[in-house]
Amino acid sequence: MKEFVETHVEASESNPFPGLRPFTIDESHLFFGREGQSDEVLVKLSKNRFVAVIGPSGSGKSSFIYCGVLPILYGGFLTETGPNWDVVVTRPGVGPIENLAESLLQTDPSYVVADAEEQKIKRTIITTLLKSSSLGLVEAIQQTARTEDKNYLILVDQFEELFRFKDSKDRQSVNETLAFVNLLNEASNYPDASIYVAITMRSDFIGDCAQFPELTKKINDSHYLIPQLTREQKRRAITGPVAVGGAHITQPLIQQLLNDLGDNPDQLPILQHSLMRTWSYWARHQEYEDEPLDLKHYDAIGTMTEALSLHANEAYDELNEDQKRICEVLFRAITEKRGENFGIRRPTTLGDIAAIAGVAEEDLISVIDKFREEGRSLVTPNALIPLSSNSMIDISHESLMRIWVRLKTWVDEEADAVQMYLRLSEAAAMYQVGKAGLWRPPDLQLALNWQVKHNPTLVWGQRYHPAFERTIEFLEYSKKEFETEQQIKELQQKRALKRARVTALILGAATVISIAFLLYAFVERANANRERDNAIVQQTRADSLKLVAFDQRELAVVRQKEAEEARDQADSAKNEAVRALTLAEERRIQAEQAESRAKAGEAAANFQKLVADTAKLKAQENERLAKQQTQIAQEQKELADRLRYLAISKAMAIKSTQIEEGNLKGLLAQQAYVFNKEYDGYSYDNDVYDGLYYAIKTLGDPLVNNLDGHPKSVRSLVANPNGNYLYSAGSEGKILRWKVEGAQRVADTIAMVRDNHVLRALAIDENNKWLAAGGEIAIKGSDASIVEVYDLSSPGSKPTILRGYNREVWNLIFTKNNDKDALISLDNLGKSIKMSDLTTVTEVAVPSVRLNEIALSYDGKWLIGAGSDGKIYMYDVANGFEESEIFDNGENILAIAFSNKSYRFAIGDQRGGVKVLELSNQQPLSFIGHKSQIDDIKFSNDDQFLATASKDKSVRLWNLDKPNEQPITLRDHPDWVWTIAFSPDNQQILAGTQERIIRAWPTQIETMSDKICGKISENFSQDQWDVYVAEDLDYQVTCENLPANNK
Amino acid sequence: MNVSKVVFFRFQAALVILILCTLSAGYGQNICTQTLRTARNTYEQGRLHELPDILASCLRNGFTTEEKVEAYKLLTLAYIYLDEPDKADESMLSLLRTNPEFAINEAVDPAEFINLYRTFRTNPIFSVGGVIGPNLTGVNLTEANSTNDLNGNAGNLPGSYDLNVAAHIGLAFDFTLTDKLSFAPELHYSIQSFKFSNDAITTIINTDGTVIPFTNNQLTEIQNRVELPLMLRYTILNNRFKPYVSFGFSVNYLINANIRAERFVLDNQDIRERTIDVTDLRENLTFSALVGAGIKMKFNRGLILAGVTYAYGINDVTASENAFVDPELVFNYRYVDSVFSTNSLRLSIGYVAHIYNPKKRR
Repeated sequence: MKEFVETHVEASESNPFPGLRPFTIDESHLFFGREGQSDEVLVKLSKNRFVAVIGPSGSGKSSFIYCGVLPILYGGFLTETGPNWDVVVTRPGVGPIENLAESLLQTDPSYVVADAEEQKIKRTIITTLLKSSSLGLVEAIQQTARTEDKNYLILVDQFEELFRFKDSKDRQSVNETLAFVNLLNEASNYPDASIYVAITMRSDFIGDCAQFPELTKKINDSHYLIPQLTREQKRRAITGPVAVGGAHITQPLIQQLLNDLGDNPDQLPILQHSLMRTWSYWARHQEYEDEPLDLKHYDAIGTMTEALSLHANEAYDELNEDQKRICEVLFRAITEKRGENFGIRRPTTLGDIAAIAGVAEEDLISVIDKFREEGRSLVTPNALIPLSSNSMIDISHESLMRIWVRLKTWVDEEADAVQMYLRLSEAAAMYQVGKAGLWRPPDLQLALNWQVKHNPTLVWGQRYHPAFERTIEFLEYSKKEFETEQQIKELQQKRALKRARVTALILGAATVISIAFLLYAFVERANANRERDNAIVQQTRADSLKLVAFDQRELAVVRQKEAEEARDQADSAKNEAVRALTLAEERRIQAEQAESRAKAGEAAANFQKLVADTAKLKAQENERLAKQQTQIAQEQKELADRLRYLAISKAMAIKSTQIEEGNLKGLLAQQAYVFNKEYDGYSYDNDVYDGLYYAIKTLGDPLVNNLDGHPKSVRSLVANPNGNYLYSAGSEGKILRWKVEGAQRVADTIAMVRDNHVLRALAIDENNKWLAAGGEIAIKGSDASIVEVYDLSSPGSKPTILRGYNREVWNLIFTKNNDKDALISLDNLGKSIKMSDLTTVTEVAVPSVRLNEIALSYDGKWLIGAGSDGKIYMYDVANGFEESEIFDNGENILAIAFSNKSYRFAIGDQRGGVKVLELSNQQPLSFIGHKSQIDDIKFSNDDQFLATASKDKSVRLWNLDKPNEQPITLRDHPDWVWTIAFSPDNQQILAGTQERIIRAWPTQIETMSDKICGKISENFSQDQWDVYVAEDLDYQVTCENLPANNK
Repeated sequence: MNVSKVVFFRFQAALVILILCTLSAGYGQNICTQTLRTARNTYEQGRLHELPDILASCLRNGFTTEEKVEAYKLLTLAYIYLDEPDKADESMLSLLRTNPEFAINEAVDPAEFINLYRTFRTNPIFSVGGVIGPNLTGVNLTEANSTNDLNGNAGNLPGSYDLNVAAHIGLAFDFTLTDKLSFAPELHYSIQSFKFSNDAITTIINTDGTVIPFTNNQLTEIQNRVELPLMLRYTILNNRFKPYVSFGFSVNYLINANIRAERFVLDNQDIRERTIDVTDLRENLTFSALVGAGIKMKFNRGLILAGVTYAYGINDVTASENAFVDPELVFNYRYVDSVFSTNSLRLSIGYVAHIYNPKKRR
C-alpha cells in the first residue's frame, strides 16, 4: 500500500487534477467539495459494519471513499474501534472472487515480494478458501491477520461490475456472483471478526441488487446516496486543487467552467479531465511567473466539449499505422451502438479483442497502454494494473463515445458492418433451408464491399452471429454464380440487339411508305378542293348570267308594252285618217250633188238666165269651194298617212330591238329609218336610233365595237377636235392612245398599269403636244400628289412630273398664259385651283367652297366651278381669278362644261338634273331624264349636241337646236358611265365605264343606216311585210341593193 | 285569384313579351336585309349620296355581321366615289373592325377600293392560343450507374430505361416576322415520364438448377415541368396547309419529380409499391434544343397548329454524386440513378386565334 501511494505521487507529478480516473487515497489533500459528508458514512459504517455509497455515474463515489472516508478512518476517528485499519480495495471485474483474493494478498507484504510461482500458489490457496464456503472471507482474513486488534475494511469499488460483467448464460459466472455476495454478507455479519464492508455502486444498478435479499436488506439499512455538488462546492473542487498546486485561477475561467459543467453529475470527470489538461497546458506554456490559469488555456485545450476528443486524438496520433488499425478494432470491440445516436460501453476481455483483431496480445497491450498511461486514463483498467488476457478492457467514460469524433465514426461503421453481417447471415440461413436464393447485386456488391473493407474474422463474427463460416461461404458462392450468369446474359443481349435492329429496319420502311401514302392523299385532296372551287365559280357565273337574262326579259316586256302603245297610237291615227277621208268623200258627194243641182238648175236657167247666170256664178263659186274642200281633204289624208307611217316606223324600230335574228332586225330598223326619213320624222329619233344601233351591233359592225384595253374602270377620256387621237386613262394607272385603223380603233400604251395611280383627269393641249394626267396618286407618307405630263411628240419618253399638288387632282385644263402652254388644275379635294407652266406649280385661287369640277371658256377668260353647295362660281382669269357667284342650282353640282364656241355652259347635279346656261343670261334650259348623278358633260364639237354621262348607266345626247325633242338615250352600258368624249370627227361619242370598257356610239343615224344594207342578205318577204309593217301598205324594197322578195 | 293563377299569368305575359321580342328582332333583321338590298340597288344605280342615310340605322343595330361587312363596303365605296376620303377611311376602319379578316378581291374590286384597303394594317399583330398533346420521353445516358456493376464496367447495365408517354398543355403565341418566318414562343406545363426496369435481381435456384427470377422492379419517373420553348417557324409552302419547319431552344424548370416504384415478388408475396420524391436529386433548370415540323392551317380567325417537336436535352438532369443518396431506392428497388439527360418527342395540336388591330398606315 505504501509503495502504491508513493509511485502514484510521483506519477501525478505536480498536476493537482487526476483526470478521468478517480482520486486515489493519497490524493485527499487535493480532494475538495465534499467536506463534512464523510462523517455520515462513517457513522453508518460503524453501526452496521456495512455501508453502500450510491450515486450516478461519474458523481465521484470512488473519489469520495478514497479521499473523504478512508483518511478519517486511518486517522482513528471511528471511536468504537481501534485505530489500526487494513483496507482491502477490490473491484469485481470478470472474476470477483479471484480479484478479491488478489486484493487480500496485496495487503500481505510477503506476497508482494514473493516470486511469481509462489504468488500463484498463494493466490490459488486464498481463492480456493474463499470459494469453499460463505465464511471464506472471514477465514482468509483471520489467516492473514498479523495483529489481533486490527480492523479490516473490505472496500468493493465499482460493485456494479458484478452485474455488468456477469455473463448470465454462464452458470459458473452466476454462481460466482452469488458466492461473492455471500462472502461479503457473512464477513459483515460475523460477530468475532471486526470486518467492515463498504461498496460503491452506480445508482442505476441498484435494481440488480434485489436478486440478493440479504444484500438488499443491508443496503436498505445502511446506504449513503451521494449528493450532487452545489455550485459553491463545485467552485471549491476547482479552486482547491489549484491553490494546493500553488497557482491561481481567474474568475472568468471559474465561471466558464461552472457554466460548461451544468447540472449533470456525469460531467464531473469531464471537468476533471479538462482541468488536468488545462493545468498541463498552463504549466508548459506559462508566459510569466504567477500567471493564473485563464480562459485562453482552457480554450487552447478545446474546452470541455473538445478536450477529450483532442486528448484521444493525441494518443491515436502517437500510434503507427498497424497500431492504428488495431486501435480501431479495439475501440469497435468495446463499444456498441444502440439506437440512432446512442452508444454504450461493451467491456471485453483483452484476449477476445486480440482474437477479433487477429493480432498478438502484446501488440494489443502496447496500443491499450497508450490510452491508459498516466494522465490519459481513457480506457480502464488504469495504468497501474498489469494487463492479462482476462483483463476487462473498457473505456473510462461513456462521454468519450459522444465527444471523440473518430470513435463515433467507428461506432457507426461497426453498426453498419454488423447490420450487413447479420443480413448476410440471415440470407445464408434462408438459403440453406431453401427459402431464398443466392444474393445478386446490389446486395451482393454491397456485401463484397463490406468483406473487403472490414475483413471480418471468425471471433468478430461469432460475437454477433454464430454461423460465420456458412455466411462467408454463401457470399463466395453468390459471387461465383452471378459472374457466370452475367456472361450468359451478355450473350443474350447481343442476340436481342440484333433482333431489334432488324425489326426497326422493317418498321422504318413501313413508316416511310405510310408517309408517302399520306402525302399522296393530301395532294389528291387539294386537287379535289380546287375542282370544287372551280365548280362554285362556274355556278356563280351561271347564276349571274341567269340574272342578266331575267333583266333582259323584263326589259323586253317593257319594250313590247311601249310598242303596243305606239301601235295603238298608230291605229288611232289611222282611224282619224279614215274619218278625214270619209269627210272628204262626203264633201265631194255634196259637191257633186251641188253640181247636179246646178246642172238641174240649167233648165231653169234658161228660164231665168240672169238668175241662172247668177246662179252659175254661184255654182262656179261653189265648185271652187268644193275643189278647195277636196284639196283640204287630200291634205288631211296625206297628213294622216304620214303620221301613220311615222307610227309604223317607231313601232318597227322598237320591234327591231326585240328581235334576235340579224337580218330581220336589220330590215325592220332600216325600214323604220326609211319611213321616218320618207315621212319626215325627227331625224334624231331615239327609237329609230336604238333600232339601228342594236341592229348594227347585232350584225357586228365595227362602228359600235367596244374599246377594250383597261383592266379596271375608265375614269377619263379626252380627244382634241383638231387631232386624230382619243386618250383614255383608268383607275389602275394605265393610259391608252386610240387611233382609227380602217374601221377599227386600236390602242398604243402610253403608261402601263401602276398601283396607286387612279387617273381621274386627262388634258391635251390644242397643238396635241402635251398630255397631262392626274388623279389619286398617293405619295407614301404625305398628302402630296403629282401630275404627269407626257410629251406626245416623243412617244415612249418618261413623263415630266409636276409636284406641288395636294391629295387628289380632279381636273386638268390646258390653256395659254401669255402665249405659253399652261395647265390649270383643281386639287386638294376641290379646295385649290393651281396653274402650272409645266415646270412649276402655283396656287391661283382658293375657292370659298369645295368645287367638284371646273371648266374654262373657249377663249380662256373665264373659269367656272361647280360648287358642292349647289352654286356656280366664276373666276376672272385675267383679274387674278377673282371669284363671283353666278347661279344657284340648289343641288350639289358634280359636272360642268363650257361649249366650244360660246359662253354657253352646262351643269349636271347629283340628282341627274342637267341645265344649260349662258354666262350673260342665267335663264337655264333644263333637261330632265337622268336618274342619278351626272359624271361628265361634253358639248359636241359643233355645239349642236350636249352629251351627259351619268351613274344611271346611260348617256344622253340632247339636241340643243331642238331642246324639246326627246334625247337619244345611249343605254347599252354595263355600269356607271364615268366619262364621255366626242371623237375628233364628231361622228362618234365614246363612253368610259366603271366596268372596264369604252362604248362607242355613232352620233349620226345615217352613218348607221348606210351600213345596214351591206350587212343583210335579203329584203322583207311579203309575209314579213304584212306582219311587221302593215297589210294594207304597199310592199317596198327596203334595200335597193337586194332583190325584191314579195313573190 | 290564387297564387298559382298569378304565377300562370306572369308566365304568360313573359312568354308574350319573349315572342314579341323574337318577332321584332326577326322583323328588324328582315328590315335590315331589305335595307341592304335597297342600298345595293341604290349604289348600282349611282345614287351614292343617298347611301349613308339608308344604311345608318341598320349599321347601328340590325345587321348581321356579314351584312354589316357588306354595308360598310358599300358605304366605303360610296364615300370613295363621293370624294370624301376621310369618311371613307372611317368606314373602312369600321369594316375591318367588324371583320378583321376581310379580304379584297383583286380581280373584281375597284382599284380605288383596293388602294384604300392597302393603306390599312390588315395583318394580325399576333396570334395567341393553346396547344395540347402527348409526348414520348426517354433518357440519354451520359454515365451509366448501376447497382449491378460488379467490375466497374459502365456499359454493363442490367436494368434498362424505356420510353414512356405523358402529356403537355400550354399557351402558344405566333408573331409574324415575314411572310415565311414567324417567332413562336410557347409556355407549357409538361408532364414527362420514363421507365426503368430490372428483372431477376434476386433469383431462386431450383433443385434442378434452373434459375427463376425472384423479384422484378419497375420504376416510373414522372416529372412535372414548366417549359418555355422559343422557336422560329419557317413556312416551306404557302398552300392551304402551310407546312413549316421550326427550330429553337427551350428553358425548362422542374417543379417536381417522383419515382413510382413497384416491386413484384414471385409466388404470392407482397407487391411493394411506393412513390418516392426525387426532386432533390434532379437539376431544376435544364435546357433543350428543339427541332420540329408541322402544318398550320387557316381555320376561322386563326390557325390550327399540328406538329411534332423533338427536344434534345442539353444538360443532365441527374448528377453522379446523387446516385446513391436515397437508400430506399438502392436497397428496396435496386435502383441507382445514372447520369442522363432527357429527350422527348412531342405531338402538339392546338389553335391560335389571330389578334387584329386594324389602323390606317401613314
